[in-house]
Amino acid sequence: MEHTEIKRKFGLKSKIFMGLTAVSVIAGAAYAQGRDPAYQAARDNGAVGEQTDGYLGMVGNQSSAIEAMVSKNRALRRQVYTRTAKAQGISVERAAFFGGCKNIERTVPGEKYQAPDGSWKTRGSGAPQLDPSCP
Amino acid sequence: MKYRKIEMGGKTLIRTKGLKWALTGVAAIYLSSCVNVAAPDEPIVINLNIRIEQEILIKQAKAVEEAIEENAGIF
Repeated sequence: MEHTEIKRKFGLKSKIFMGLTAVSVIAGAAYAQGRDPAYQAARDNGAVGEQTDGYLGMVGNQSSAIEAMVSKNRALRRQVYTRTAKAQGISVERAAFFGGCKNIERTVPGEKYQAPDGSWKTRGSGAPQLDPSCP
Repeated sequence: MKYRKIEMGGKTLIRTKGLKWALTGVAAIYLSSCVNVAAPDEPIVINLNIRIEQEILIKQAKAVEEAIEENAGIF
């Protein structure tokens, strides 16, 4: 009798946990919606991907519109990395590298990212391949 | 094995030297079976720099992560 009660309690706990996880996933997806639709589309169809150096990269040859979009994005990211690097007293490259680790981690299944060997990979359901120097 | 025959009223007792030593050995093991911890001659050096460096690294990466989340539109 006691055993079944414990089992039921665990069942309820994990149900609450699953519910909370679902809520946070939905919240996370909503949070990520700050992207420009063209940028989001390029990510979704694998035209662009996350590089290990922290910047956006083109996967193969792309239209001049995408090229312009990537170039603008890279400049904006550089500003963010530069600010953080100054605040932390580290080089921009180092801050950008940490950014790359995070950006690759943040990719969702189907998006492209650069593996430590430099090749483009499509994010699967599992963890992405990160540089061994990532913290 | 060396042994000694002892004649006692028609009975013969055989005492071996080996058995004597073996019993002494067993007794010695039982008596000395406590753990001995000896301090090494050289001082023990624990390098804490690795941990501190790792903590700094995590702090820097965390700062970058926060900057990314604040500018989620371009990341």
